[in-house]
Amino acid sequence: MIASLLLLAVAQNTTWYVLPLAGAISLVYSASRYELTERILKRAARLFITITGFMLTVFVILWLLSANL
Amino acid sequence: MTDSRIDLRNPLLAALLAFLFPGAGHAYQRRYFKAVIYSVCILGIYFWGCSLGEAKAVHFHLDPQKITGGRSSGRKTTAGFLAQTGVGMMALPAIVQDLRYTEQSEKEESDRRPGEILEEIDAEFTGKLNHVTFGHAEITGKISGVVRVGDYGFGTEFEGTFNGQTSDGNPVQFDLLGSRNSGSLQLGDRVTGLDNVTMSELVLETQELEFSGERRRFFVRVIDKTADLGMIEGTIARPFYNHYLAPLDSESLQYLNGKLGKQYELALVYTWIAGLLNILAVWDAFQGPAYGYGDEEPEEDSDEKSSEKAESADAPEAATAATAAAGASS
Repeated sequence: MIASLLLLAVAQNTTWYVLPLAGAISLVYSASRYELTERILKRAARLFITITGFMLTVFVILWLLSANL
Repeated sequence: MTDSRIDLRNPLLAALLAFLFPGAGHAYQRRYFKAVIYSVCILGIYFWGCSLGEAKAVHFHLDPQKITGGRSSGRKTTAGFLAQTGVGMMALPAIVQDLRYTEQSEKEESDRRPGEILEEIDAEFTGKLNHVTFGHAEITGKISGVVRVGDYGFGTEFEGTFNGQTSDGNPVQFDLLGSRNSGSLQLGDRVTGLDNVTMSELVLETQELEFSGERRRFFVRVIDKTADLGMIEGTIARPFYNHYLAPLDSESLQYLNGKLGKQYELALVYTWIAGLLNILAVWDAFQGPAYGYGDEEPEEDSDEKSSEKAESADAPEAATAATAAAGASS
């Protein structure tokens, strides 16, 4: 358990890099879909949550599956 | 179809501007909010990637098989650069640098023009001296001379002088003469992204690989008339325009991957994504937003739609239930 937590801490260094990247992708993608500022921001926020939520879910699943390894 | 409320002005010009500099096309169309989003996000990711890769993440060579010694990584580099070109003006100079790099290699390989001056060198030198009189000493000073291509042992020759001083302040002056083929001249490429500048075991106790873009390897023989007096080994400055976005050879790529590891991969991915994202921005400048202005009837989410459908499907049942309940109560 401690070993996997340590591994998680090490992995965190590069995992965090995905957040600004997801943020930028969400904003640019939404901006290319709509013109209204409010709409762009709203859709970007939703897309950002979807991306990070999906990645978090995959992360948790993989973490649970590898818990007893 | 583009919404009539959006003034795209000259769409072609806007698209070109958006390609050359992310956000510029939208600023030209007076769509300032989008201009800020595109420039900050796309350039932010691009420059972050460049910084992670120590400014060596963007490079291109038209003949990657040649530069990587036939390994498949060359093709990957070219495909990656194609994605990076999406950022326009930031990445396009790499093509010019490749042309300069190729021209330089072809010129050096040519032995049909004996005596042709390849370049004149007039640069600050810093390095070490291995000399019969002065022994080992740190030296700094000015190197000046010319590099010629010709039949100097069928190779390249440097002829020049060194004026400088040793680390303890003694002024020194030498005549220099070296030929690449005899091993008495080692001169880094004039145009290259990164170069091996490791000194030889003669002047260094510990041998550790060192690569540099800003500095250029310069080892040459020190002579007195024709007598061989030793070598000077060190580096001369390589100007910014000779290493910025210039091609990298396989040895430099291997060094970068070894030094930066995963960080270099991240750098590549960031710059690729930045280039690809700008394609969306270019299209938006040319054609307007893909789904419309944004104040149309809001699209319902699929789950909302399905719940609505379920509600409408339930409605007759609910009405029947309400009628039944009313009937029962009466």
